[in-house]
Amino acid sequence: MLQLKFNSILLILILSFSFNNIVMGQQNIFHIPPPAPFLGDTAIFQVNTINDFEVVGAFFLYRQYGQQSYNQVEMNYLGDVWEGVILGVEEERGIEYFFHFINKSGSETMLPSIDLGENPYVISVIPLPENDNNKTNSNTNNFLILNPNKNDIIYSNDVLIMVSLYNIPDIDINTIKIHLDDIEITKDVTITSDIITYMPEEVSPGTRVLKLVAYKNNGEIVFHKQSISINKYRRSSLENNFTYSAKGKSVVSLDQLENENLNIYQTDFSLNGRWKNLKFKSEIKITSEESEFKQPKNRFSTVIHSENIKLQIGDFKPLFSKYTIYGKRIRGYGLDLKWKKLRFQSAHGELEREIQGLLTMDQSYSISDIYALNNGKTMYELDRRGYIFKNYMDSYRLSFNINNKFIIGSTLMKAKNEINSVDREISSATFTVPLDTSLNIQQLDSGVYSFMEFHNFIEENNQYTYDLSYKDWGGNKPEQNLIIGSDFKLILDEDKFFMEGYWAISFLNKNIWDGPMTLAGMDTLDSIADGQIFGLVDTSMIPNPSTLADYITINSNLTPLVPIDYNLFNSNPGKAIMNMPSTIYSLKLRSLYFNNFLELQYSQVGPEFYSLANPYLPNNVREISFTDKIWLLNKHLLSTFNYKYKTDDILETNPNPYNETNIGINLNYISGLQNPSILYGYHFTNRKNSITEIEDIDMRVNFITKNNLFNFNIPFHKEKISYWLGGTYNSIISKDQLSDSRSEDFLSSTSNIQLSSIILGAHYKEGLRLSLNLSNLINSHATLGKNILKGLALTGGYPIFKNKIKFSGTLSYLLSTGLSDFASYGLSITSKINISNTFQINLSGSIKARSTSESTDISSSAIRFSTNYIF
Amino acid sequence: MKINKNYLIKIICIIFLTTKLISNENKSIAVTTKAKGDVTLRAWDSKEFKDLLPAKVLDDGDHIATGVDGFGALVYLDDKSTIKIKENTSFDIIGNRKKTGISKRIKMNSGTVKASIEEGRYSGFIIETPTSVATVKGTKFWLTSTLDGDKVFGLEGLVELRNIISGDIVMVNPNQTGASLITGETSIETTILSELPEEDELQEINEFEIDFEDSNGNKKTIKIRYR
Repeated sequence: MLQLKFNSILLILILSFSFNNIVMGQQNIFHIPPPAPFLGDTAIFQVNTINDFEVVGAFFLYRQYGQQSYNQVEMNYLGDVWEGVILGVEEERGIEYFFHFINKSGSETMLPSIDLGENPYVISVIPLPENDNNKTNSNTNNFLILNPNKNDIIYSNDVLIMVSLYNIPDIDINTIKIHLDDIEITKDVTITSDIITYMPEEVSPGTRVLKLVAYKNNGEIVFHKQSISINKYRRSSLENNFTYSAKGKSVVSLDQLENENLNIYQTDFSLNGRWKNLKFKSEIKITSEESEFKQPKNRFSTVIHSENIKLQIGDFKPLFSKYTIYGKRIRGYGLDLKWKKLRFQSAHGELEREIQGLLTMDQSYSISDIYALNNGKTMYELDRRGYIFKNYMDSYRLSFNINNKFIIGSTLMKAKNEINSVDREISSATFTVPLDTSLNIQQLDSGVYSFMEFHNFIEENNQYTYDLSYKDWGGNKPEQNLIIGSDFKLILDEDKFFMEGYWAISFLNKNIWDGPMTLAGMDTLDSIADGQIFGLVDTSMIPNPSTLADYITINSNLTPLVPIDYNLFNSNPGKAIMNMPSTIYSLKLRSLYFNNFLELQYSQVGPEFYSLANPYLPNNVREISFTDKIWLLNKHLLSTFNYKYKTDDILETNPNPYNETNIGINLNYISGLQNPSILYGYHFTNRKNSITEIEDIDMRVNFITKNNLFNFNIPFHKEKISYWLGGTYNSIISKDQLSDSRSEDFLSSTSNIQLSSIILGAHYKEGLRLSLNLSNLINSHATLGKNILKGLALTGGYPIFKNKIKFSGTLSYLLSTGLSDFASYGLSITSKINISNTFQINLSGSIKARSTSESTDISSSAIRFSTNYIF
Repeated sequence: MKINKNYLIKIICIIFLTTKLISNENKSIAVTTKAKGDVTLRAWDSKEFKDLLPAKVLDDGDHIATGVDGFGALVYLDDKSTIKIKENTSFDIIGNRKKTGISKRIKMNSGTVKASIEEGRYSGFIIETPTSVATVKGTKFWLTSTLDGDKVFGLEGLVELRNIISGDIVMVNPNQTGASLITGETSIETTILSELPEEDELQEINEFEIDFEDSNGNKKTIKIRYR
């Protein structure tokens, strides 16, 4: 029985690992990687779902190649398509990404890998040309920087950048991307049809590079780059009074999915204000998606700051350190104080709010047992489930900064589930009371009861009783997390030399329901009352656990109870320290000399390192990576070489460590803006373990994946029309190197995925845009078989009334044959109406139909209305 | 699928309203880059004066006025031509958007402005006062308008100064001062430096610091104060 169960799990693991492109369990998800985006482009990642795929939430996780942590983006549901967006791709080395779906049943699904972040998708990024003087120096048909002027003295807290679009009447303002020192600032900028305005609260002194990129309606790219020198600020006289600016957006969306209506209303509003020495920014998002059964969808935030103090209230994303919290949203408050070279930051708030559980049948309660008591009464054991505890975090960071050249800091983060945040009794939650026919005792009538009905019935009837525990419920267990760490950065020679390192240790208690142990209890963990914990640590040398309960609850559920392998420490203290399972550390070196970017990194995340504020940080991995990037051929050819070695060979006790070698080569040739570009990428992955013998189950791994990507873009320009032709060919061949020695019933993971797509486009001077996108995805799997996806999309757009109204529409078709046979048809129409520089209306509608061998049905339809307004 | 009728009615009303509103031409011609002290704006379609702030987009017909401690600057959207406005100045900013650029006109009641007009555009630039009309193409100059008449101080390029009353015209070159009086007289003289207006923003003293560090790590800071 056990063997059968293990085989089943193994089968599921293998299937999920290799075939989730096509089928995930009983649910169908399709993802076709998007074409390689240009640096600064908005990249859109879509996942198609089939009607029986019941997802209630989805996240898109991405990181630049070589990073440890993933950035999390909440995906939008657009009628059988989930969409995640990167606003402005910032990294030339490529993007690693995967998807995380929350299913209606509460289960979670990862695409493409069940091993969190271990096998993400990878796409390349096409860099922008380094220089193109012909296009950047002319005011005609280009951005015109109105402010600042070249020799202006600009203060760090009084930066005003204004760019005129007057000379680019056919610019598509929705494509404008703005970077300051390679950090995208587009979302902080006000863009109207005439002018771009950027009024940041503060920009660090130094020389900053402003980059602007956009598309014109005819498909041409406009690009401008300018250096801006910013000085340290001090003002001695009185200044002007209170000023403010505000903008808002309202969206009404009426969707019908299958037979279910989904109407969403959302309003976003932001207000910026400033006095002489004080500035604030408030943002509010109110959506009808807010529900007590989900994590918050509404957003409220206010930032108030002066030169040395910053206070954040509401929803915000602390960026303290990569090993504690780095970009996850919390709801609470934060403080940032600067005094000379010292900086103190703190953040306090909910990482997750409490969710009591769904009221629908068996979601919050279940009957776990029925039996007769000695007194003859029938006992119903009731279990509580489907809840989430409030997870409250406090974090503190103190750092020392010497002229932005050497920064050293330490961070402490503690997070704790609040046990009392979840109610034991939910009156209206329903559950099934079964009839156990194997018992010869009096039982309740079977059926669905609400908790209140069940409780009252039993209270009124002396024949029955029930037991619902006050703790140790079957659902989530309350956890507590403590992380302490330190980090440093060394930046020299005008950012050409960069070194960064950090080390941290985590403690995670996976069940704090019983509270902390006593010293006597710790002494007897090994059943021997010798005054020592496992004979290693003298209990008189450590504080009483109850005094530390605010930081971490010490009991048998704590990981680690003893952070270091004591035996290894005695024999090899260096190795014991380096391989502490609850630690994370990293050292990164980067240099930029002679047009050559070089980066080396060594990092390790122990198998027991956990951060409740950074749940997407993969653990149990050691990585050594090397990246070399060099511009050649007068900066037209960017060549990149990546090498990465990964292993989980960290613990001495790991009997079967894997190791994985990744080699990547990218060649990008770009002759200039509006000129053809070609990209070739090659990624090689070899993952193997140390098992050589076949026992009951063949656990050997030696798997090679070769990923070849070829992408080209060829524009043609004529007097009144611009055409372009783009194409992508992607081949991903995965091969089991041990297939010859496998038994016949072994489920091989060998697969061959071939993706080809071509796009033809035309932009007319008067504004008409047309494009045709054809794609073909073939996935041949040695065990499951073959599936083919053929896609076609025809898109058009046309502006009228001097670009005041823009119409666009897409006609799409997707045909799936093989493992899943169906066809999908879609039509969407959008209109954008610029009423004034400060008011815009968008109206869109879409309809999708799905056809199978049995029937053709409307799978979804939607109408969406939104307004943008600036005060 | 059930769609709430109220929403449909609202959407249709907004679309109707939109098509009515979009017939209005875009009137934006310039934007303020500085506004310090007492600087106010009366929009072309309003009678109310409001405080003028930096980054305010100016429309054709807007009126700007500065008080005793006011200073402002505006820049045109098409070619970055700049008007700096000194204290006690009031004028209408008028412009016509064309494909070749914005034809620019300042209708000035009184006060002092410094104009830096970019060369190479065909749109032209005119300053009108109760006494004179100054026409320029690519130049830099000061213009002061008082109850007695106007003075143009040439800095770069050439300014044509015409007296409305007499019709007399003088051409003002760099380092020359052209006068146009309410009596109808005009004159041209070499500029007396002490009469040249200054770009002093009296209401503000600015200061910035530059840090220096020698090889031994010793640091020194230069503080620069300027108006």
